Amino acid sequence: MNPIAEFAARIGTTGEVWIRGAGTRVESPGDVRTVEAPAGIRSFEPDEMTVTCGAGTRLSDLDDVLAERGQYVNLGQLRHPHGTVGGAVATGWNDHLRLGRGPVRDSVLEVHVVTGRGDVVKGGGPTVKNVSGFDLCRLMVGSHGRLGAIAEVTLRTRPLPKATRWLSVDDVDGSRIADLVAHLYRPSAVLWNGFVGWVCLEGHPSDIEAARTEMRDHGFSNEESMSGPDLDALPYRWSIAPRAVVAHVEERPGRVTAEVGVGVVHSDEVPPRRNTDAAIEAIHRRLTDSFDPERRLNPGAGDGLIR
Amino acid sequence: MTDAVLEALRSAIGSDGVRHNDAELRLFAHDASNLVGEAGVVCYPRSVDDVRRVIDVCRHFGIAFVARGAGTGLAGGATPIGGAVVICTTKMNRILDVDVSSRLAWVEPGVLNLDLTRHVGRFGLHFAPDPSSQQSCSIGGNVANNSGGPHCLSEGVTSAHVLACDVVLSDGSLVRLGGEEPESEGFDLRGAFVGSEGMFGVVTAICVRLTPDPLDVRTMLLDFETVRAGTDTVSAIIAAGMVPAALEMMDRLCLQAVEAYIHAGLPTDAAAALLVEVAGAPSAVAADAEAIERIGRQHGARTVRIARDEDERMLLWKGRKNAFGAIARIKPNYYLHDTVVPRRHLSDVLDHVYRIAAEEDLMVLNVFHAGDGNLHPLLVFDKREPGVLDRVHRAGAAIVEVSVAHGGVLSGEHGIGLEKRDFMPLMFSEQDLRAQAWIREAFDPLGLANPFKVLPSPSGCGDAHAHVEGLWV
Ligand SMILES: Cc1cc2nc3c(=O)[nH]c(=O)nc-3n(C[C@H](O)[C@H](O)[C@H](O)COP(=O)(O)OP(=O)(O)OC[C@H]3O[C@@H](n4cnc5c(N)ncnc54)[C@H](O)[C@@H]3O)c2cc1C
Ligand SMILES: Cc1cc2nc3c(=O)[nH]c(=O)nc-3n(C[C@H](O)[C@H](O)[C@H](O)COP(=O)(O)OP(=O)(O)OC[C@H]3O[C@@H](n4cnc5c(N)ncnc54)[C@H](O)[C@@H]3O)c2cc1C
Repeated sequence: MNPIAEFAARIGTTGEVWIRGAGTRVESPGDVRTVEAPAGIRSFEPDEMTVTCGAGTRLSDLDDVLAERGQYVNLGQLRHPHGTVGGAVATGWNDHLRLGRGPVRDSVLEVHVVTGRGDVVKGGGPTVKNVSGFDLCRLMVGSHGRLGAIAEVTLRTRPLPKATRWLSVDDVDGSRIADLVAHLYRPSAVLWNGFVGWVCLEGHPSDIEAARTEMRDHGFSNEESMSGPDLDALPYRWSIAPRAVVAHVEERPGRVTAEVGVGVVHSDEVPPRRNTDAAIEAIHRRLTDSFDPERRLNPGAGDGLIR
Repeated sequence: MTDAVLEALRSAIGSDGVRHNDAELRLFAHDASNLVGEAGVVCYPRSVDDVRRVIDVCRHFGIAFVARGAGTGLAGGATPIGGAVVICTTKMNRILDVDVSSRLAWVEPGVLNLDLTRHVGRFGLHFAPDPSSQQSCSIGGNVANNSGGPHCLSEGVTSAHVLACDVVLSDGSLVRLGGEEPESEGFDLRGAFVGSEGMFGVVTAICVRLTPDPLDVRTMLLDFETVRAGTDTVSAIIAAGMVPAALEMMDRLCLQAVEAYIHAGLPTDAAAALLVEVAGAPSAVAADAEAIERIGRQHGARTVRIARDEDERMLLWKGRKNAFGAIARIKPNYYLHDTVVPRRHLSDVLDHVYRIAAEEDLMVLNVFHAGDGNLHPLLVFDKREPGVLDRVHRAGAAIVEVSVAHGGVLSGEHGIGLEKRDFMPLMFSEQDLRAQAWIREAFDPLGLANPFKVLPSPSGCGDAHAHVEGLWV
């Protein structure tokens, strides 16, 4: 039996199941049957810039294989390198290089999932460009596996940047942060806590040096730093409009670190519950009613809207 | 269309927004494809409230509606079937808000793609998706078709540039999918909506990401004695770790047609030419341009012409972007195809395309997005010639089949619409298609938004075919 069919057979058609990735973040509820997705890279085509792998593949294994050919895949693994591809896709969490590298959701080209009814369903296609049919791939990213257990994915790869440099810039207050951003050409990240800015630049080393000079010329002296700021002390994650970031940080100087231009704010405060709209809830309900009518898959995983 | 419906629409949005004359109905019976349906009435809403009122009337009478932007779609997506109500967004064309520092804009769906780019140009920004039809297509249509363009190779297609959509659903509710904030709760409904070809609801406002203009650009034209040398160059560039801003190919017939039209000094004796653009920061651009020239020469490029200035760059692009105008001079009608294959199969599939065209005694020109394997075989013909349409349709079907057989997909950017609806089983199983139908039903349980498109109708359900002239699948 092929690994996808075997995964589907293990999921079956009745009873609750928890799809376990590496369990790096979300632990299964104790009393639910646990199933792991198939692991392993099925094909990697460097000149197509695509890779197909089982959802149980470790991100670190995938990174190693791609790096041998100078490529990577953007699955938000910067801070959580030890999870699985399926866990990264199911949670859809981005890391703080999203400004330059884009969101995880843009990395997925094709998915094979097992629905709560036990059927194997494919969405998307194996090529880097495709608009055949409705976009099941986007729907699966961040679904917490509540619409389908992810068996296999085809992902878009990218060339590894020639160089990556983190810079820290002192004395950046609310009046200067917009000016700093305006003098950067497509940075990979700009983080800011109200006093210090951290900038990640990727690309050709001479371009990075030129950008540093340009920053200095505009009064932003900068130091090279090993990595970005330590975000581990800020366990909560807010999602706000990028245009609201400056005011948000100025109200909480030093207590938050914001991803400028993106709108993710790493915080010591629990984010407020967001309002939900009845029509949006109804779409969610109808989707889950179709894909997993008995709510068997990953019971309890997800946020307020996914249940 | 009954008088009662017309009356209800007129009182809903005013009689000047409701058109029912023969000329307009004929014009709106099709998009830019040759698939002709039947429009019941054409409505021109001016606001989201107008859209809601029109949809309320449709729901009340149980009539289908079809959103339409500029009607440049090539898959029959905006072709109304069986007298549907056409909701045309051309009067909803305001740019609502531009936030330069956050690099985003809110627009109404009828804003033309190039108008947005022109509007934000003064801030050093642009809207990255650049379909060849960008002068005339609407952003609402781009969203519905998840459109692409030459510069989507490095920047990604429309989906990567849409942050939020305000959508009126067929039950009359107005929802915001996605948002300016980066991580909305719940499923990615924004992502599901982009590319839904008008079948999930009518988008009334769109929040798009704007992209900074590059610091430096290098545009070059490489020409080859064989098509294969050109496509091998494409693969080698990508394998060397570069993603150029654009990587387009034209074959000999196309080069000749374009040269006769614009006199840009194109190499008309070459089998194929590649138009390559690299953009970004200066050192990266210089390094990539050098590497591309070297790779091209290794693969037998006869000449490498590098645009010396912006004028020459525009001239080279003019050749690419006006290919369709040039072709109109050869024969009065064309049929533009759109499939994607893995890059390494480009050359084999092109061989098949030439063979298929020869077998059907048709002329074919190729001008396409080689960088992402997105083929656009263009069949030119004169439809007054008896039997020619049958040959065109047979050739089209064969091109689609050969692409899928080489690990490709049905459409890279034009969408499925009516044109490729009945090809969907080539790529998807019954279960895959059922899952796609579930997504549609979640947004539009009433089935009023642009029915009969994309998903092959289960047997016995409706006789949509009967109403569509030119349907060939
Ligand atoms: C900066 C950052 C912070 C994060 N913080 C959190 C956090 O606070 N909370 C959080 O929930 N996540 C968080 N994540 C997401 C998650 O930890 C990572 O994405 C990680 O890759 C998960 O992988 P895993 O294999 O360990 O998954 P697991 O921890 O085993 O599973 C994560 C979730 O995904 C589901 N899942 C796993 N594999 C599949 C599959 N094949 N099909 C369907 N569903 C599957 C699981 O059921 C579970 O609900 C964070 C990610 C990043 C990048
Ligand atoms: C010469 C030529 C060149 C082209 N080049 C390209 C190219 O390079 N790349 C590419 O991707 N496409 C290309 N196209 C195809 C076409 O221009 C695109 O698909 C475009 O995005 C369609 O926009 P439109 O406003 O004309 O949409 P329409 O044709 O009016 O509609 C297209 C689809 O969108 C739906 N729709 C329109 N507005 C809305 C709305 N407000 N809400 C919900 N649904 C809506 C319609 O129902 C229909 O299904 C080309 C077409 C031509 C004629």
